[in-house]
Amino acid sequence: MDAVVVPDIGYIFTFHSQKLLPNFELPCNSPRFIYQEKTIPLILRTFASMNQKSIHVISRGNRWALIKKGAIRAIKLYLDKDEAIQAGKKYLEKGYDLFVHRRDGMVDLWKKAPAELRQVA
Amino acid sequence: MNTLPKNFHKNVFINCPYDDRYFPMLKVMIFTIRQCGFIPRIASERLNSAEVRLEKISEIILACKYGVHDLSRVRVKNRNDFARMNMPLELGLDLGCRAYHGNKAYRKKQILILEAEQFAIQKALSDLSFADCKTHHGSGEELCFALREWFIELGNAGIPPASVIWNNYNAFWAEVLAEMAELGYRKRDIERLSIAEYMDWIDWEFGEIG
Repeated sequence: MDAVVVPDIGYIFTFHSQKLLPNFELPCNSPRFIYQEKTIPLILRTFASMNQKSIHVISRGNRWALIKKGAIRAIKLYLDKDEAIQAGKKYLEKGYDLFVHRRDGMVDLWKKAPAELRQVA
Repeated sequence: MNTLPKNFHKNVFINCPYDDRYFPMLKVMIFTIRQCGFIPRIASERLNSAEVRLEKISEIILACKYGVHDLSRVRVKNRNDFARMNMPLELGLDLGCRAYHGNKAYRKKQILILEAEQFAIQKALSDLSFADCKTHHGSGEELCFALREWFIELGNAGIPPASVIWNNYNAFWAEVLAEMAELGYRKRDIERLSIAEYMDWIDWEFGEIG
């Protein structure tokens, strides 16, 4: 799929370097833009668009979720953020980058996996 | 006078406080609106000192079928603070546009009122006791859920679950951080990203609006 036409908006979207750009004729890397007929376009990307594998500690209600990119469901929920971070750190050895988010969603800490272990999704 | 402004049926007017304390909430709001398939419109989307602010706001109100009004600052926290009246004023303009505009399409304007604590608005603005408000308790995640729920209640189908939008929002910041680090930005630059710059990153994420 090189392009997606979205009639509601009247755009042609193409994919370039995992980014969605309007009206550019560029090759597709990853079709992460889904058009559902008679509904609005959806982006169901969920941590899928960065090449490097990563794991995220994010706020979920009163808890902290440890979630892999590309996943909708969390690996586990924690009451304590530090516990979630400790669990997330174990994934560094498996080649995942660790992103720890604040309650407002922004990134508080980014720990890169050792270069020799880094994995491309 | 039946022509409507471009993207009228997709445009969402955002009326909220513009201060550092509210910026994290505003960023969630902008992202959620785009993820739900709508177009956020905000007074600070363009900076032109020659423009009279109230005229700019009126123009945006006319261009939007939807309006999201966060009145959580009508209650002051400290003794010497003043209640912020810009938001109620702009809500009044939006309600007036809905009621009195010559074009009947404006009667279908949809308005969401947000508050930090439940029933706080009814105490401060009893004329709005008819209104169905949504509460966010000052949490970005709850704001995301409230906005998505409102769009669904208005009959818009095909919107992702709120948990997915929240996951995406967090993922978006990880992507922005990774991308900006490549461009030489530091964490503190990202913390102080202006709304205009943030809107550019939102376009980078979702594609520019025609």
